[in-house]
Amino acid sequence: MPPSRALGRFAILLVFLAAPLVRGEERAAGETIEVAGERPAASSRAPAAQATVIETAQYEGEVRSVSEMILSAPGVSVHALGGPGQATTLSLRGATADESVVLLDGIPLQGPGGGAVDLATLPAVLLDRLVVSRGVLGAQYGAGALGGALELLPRARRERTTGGVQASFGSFGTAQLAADGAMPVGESGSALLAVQGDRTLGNFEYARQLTAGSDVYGFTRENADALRGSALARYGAALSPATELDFLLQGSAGDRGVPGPWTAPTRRTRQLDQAGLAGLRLRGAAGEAVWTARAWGRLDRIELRGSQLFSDCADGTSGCPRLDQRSSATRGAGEVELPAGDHGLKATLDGGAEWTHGAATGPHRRDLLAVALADDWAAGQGLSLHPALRLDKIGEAFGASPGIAASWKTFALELRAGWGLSFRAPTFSELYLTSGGVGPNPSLQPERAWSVDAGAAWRRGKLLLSAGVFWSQYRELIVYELHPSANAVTPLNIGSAHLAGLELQAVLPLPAGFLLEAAYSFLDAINDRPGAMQSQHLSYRPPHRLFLRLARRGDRVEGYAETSFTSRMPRDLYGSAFLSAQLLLSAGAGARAFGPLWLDLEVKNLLADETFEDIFHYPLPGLSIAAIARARL
Amino acid sequence: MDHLKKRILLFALVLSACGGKYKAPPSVPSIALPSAAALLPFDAGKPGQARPAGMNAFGSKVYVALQNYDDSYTVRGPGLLGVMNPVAGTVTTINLGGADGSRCLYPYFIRDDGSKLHVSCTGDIFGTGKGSGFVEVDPGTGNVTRAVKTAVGPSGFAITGSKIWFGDAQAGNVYALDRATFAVTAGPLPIPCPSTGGPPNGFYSTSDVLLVNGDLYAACSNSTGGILSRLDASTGAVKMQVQVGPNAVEFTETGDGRIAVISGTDNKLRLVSISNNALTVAEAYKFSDATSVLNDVHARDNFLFTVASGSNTVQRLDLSKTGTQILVGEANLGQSASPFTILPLDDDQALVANQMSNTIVSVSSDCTGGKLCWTKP
Repeated sequence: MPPSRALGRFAILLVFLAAPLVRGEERAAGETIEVAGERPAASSRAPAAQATVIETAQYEGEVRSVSEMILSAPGVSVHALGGPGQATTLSLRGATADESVVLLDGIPLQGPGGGAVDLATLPAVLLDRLVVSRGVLGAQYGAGALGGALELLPRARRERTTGGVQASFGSFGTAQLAADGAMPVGESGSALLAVQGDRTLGNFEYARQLTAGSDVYGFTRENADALRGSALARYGAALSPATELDFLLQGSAGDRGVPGPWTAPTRRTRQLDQAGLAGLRLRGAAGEAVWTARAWGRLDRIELRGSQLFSDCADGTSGCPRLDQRSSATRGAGEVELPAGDHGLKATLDGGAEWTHGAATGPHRRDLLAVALADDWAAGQGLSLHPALRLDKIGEAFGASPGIAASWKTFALELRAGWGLSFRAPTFSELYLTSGGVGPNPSLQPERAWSVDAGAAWRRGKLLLSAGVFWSQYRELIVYELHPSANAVTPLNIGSAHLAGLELQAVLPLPAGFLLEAAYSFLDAINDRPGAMQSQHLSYRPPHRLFLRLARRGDRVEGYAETSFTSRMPRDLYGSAFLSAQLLLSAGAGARAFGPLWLDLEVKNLLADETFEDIFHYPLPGLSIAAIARARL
Repeated sequence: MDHLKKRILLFALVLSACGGKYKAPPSVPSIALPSAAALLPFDAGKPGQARPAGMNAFGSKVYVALQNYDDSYTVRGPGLLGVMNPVAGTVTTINLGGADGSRCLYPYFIRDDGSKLHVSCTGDIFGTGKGSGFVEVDPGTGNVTRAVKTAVGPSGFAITGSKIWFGDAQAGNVYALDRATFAVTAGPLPIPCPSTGGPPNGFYSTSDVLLVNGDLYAACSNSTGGILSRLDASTGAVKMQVQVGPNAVEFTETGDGRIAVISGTDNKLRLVSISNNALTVAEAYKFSDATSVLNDVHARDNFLFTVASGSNTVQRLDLSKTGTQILVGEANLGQSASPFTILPLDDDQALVANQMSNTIVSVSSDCTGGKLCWTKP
């Protein structure tokens, strides 16, 4: 579709949303437009960190993945290996996906190789809130949080019987069905069960030039289908007036094609994965002290079929083995929070072990132990200080993660500054993975980083204006080095970089129930590795990213219009190849049909640009349309 | 202006001396390579694939090294030499593997001395480590006449009157093979390498060696940089050097006596000018953003032919032009082809070895009948 026509549709949608205002529509008595209450400013684990809190409720009536929702936060970029259901990873402040932690209800998630979390495996409908905390936050979240942390807060238990269901169907055979229900159990307990199923055929069209200056040719993406089921169960009860129990069970299973880069599609490669975790938390009070005891375990399995290093193969034939990789972890932790005058002291002891098994890595285990101390000190006159120190031992890797943050609040203005230093232990994959032309390196050392940031925020009711700057330094980065004549790559501690950036965010309540959100990120990611790549920009870090969203939620009509712009970014480490800038426009609108039933229609990539691609020559889909029906009691 | 006139005159001389009076006869559009049992697999139930690598034209035939490995890069049979008639589209093979099949594994470069063909064998780098060395082939009889095992995996090589100089694919060294005795008589002789990114936390590779005007040229490079050195062709002593960019995977002598170097990672073509007392380098062309993993370069008169494995493309460059005008033709070999090497047959027509699709394809300006042809940017 020509861009001019797509923009026309965009304008029509806005008129449609605004129409009730022009007509002076009056609301029935007792209708609620917005969820009441001020959104929290940051995570309780890092109260003075630069953070963005995202309520999933604001995306009701939209087909949203976790990766799409976090794009409303500055400092975030997401890399997707294709369309819906395909692997998607997170980058915070230019850090790699390995260098940020993702936690579900406080439980750290990892891929089967011990590294990057695939956001596409995380069911968005099962979540209440996402918190993106940025900076080197090892002192607050543990080793590995070099870019920051993404906390996924699952649906909270409800004190009354409630439930909802949402179904959607759209382009490329993409469909979703999700339901959740919560109810009181006994006198003091409550339970919640949520399920989500997703599927897509993934057969979207994309367009490419085959040679410089040639015609643009159309292709259809193949082997990009995905099927996923996820479930969340939660039970909580007050065991005594001072003691509360919370039990969480979450599982996910998927089967998807792995389509490969468009230059070398892998039409026979498939990935099957299963993951599950269980967590038990006891929380109580003893005098002024609050204690928490927690135990959790996690299992992950991933199986690749028909896969070779740079190509595919026929599953089941000789020379085409299935690659089965599993990891598991179990942890126990105790935490005591003790108020002492103006201080809120917190001490944590955390220990456990993690394992990996698989033909590609062999069996390995490493023990985990961490001790952390933190203080939330209200120093008076609106000033608070948050020093923290955490010591982590991860197998043979040992390191300290100190950090301190300060904030000063007066009226609606808040000033923040923070400093942190931490490390990331090598993953099992980096240490032991041997596959085709990839070699292991058991002698790898941890990556290390520190950062400093400062910012200001104006927060009044739903109004938020914030600005922040940061500077971070990375060293001993693990880099896979290509050995050109041997066709082999090996991870080595040879990288170093410094990154600086600016993060702006605005949330503006507008008249007539409109809400405008804006986020802008500037990132200057410079390679410090000596040689030809020194002083060049790091690859796949967009210097500029802009997100704008105008939404309105009413009792009868709702809708949004949204744009996401990602600037041209380097595709290599030498400043000689670039990925084009991408502008994505999306919009949706819906109405309450009757009772609690809402019907919505959503269009993504309104400009119908089929030339978009992300890392490693993976095409992204063009225009897509989805119809959504939902009801909540 | 004088300089320009000299350059034009030089091109005219080169054209008349090297270009040939006639174009090469048209090749068949695509040549299928041997498969399955024809690849002489060590285990009949686990054959490899042809995996064509280096090519060399000798007489009316074109010879191509067949690496004979499977999808997991496991060597499944001996190194083979494919003997092609590009006009007829026929292929026969010469077994380079010897009695037990492991004498030459992963053959790569082929060069001739006017009467014999020489093939470098990289060896089974992911497996047994066996099979590194050189074989000499008599193109007349199709027999391997001599062979030598080398302690390191050889990369590119250059043939002088008395020696074959070869580079170490995994270090910054060159070695000499005596042509009379066919024994390694010199090496490892270190050549200048980048000061960054080397062992122990990195690597060096001497990817190619070339003879130009009686001097030897060898490049040591890694992902942080690359140095092209001019060496004494008798002793291997270093005479002078110049920076040529990271991962200098291949280089060739151009029609006007310069050396064209391509980088496998920074997407650039550099031209090295040679004088008696200095080597000077200029960045001549940056390939398009869509081009990735440059892997081979060959010259024919004022034209350069390059291969980009990652983007499945080959390029035809005209060095008589400048800037972006240098690119005069480009062709796409198709998804998953992974073109690896290119062999120009004349100023227009070239053969391309596709390592993943196991074919040899002809590219020229002739677009008739669905033939693969150069598109103009």
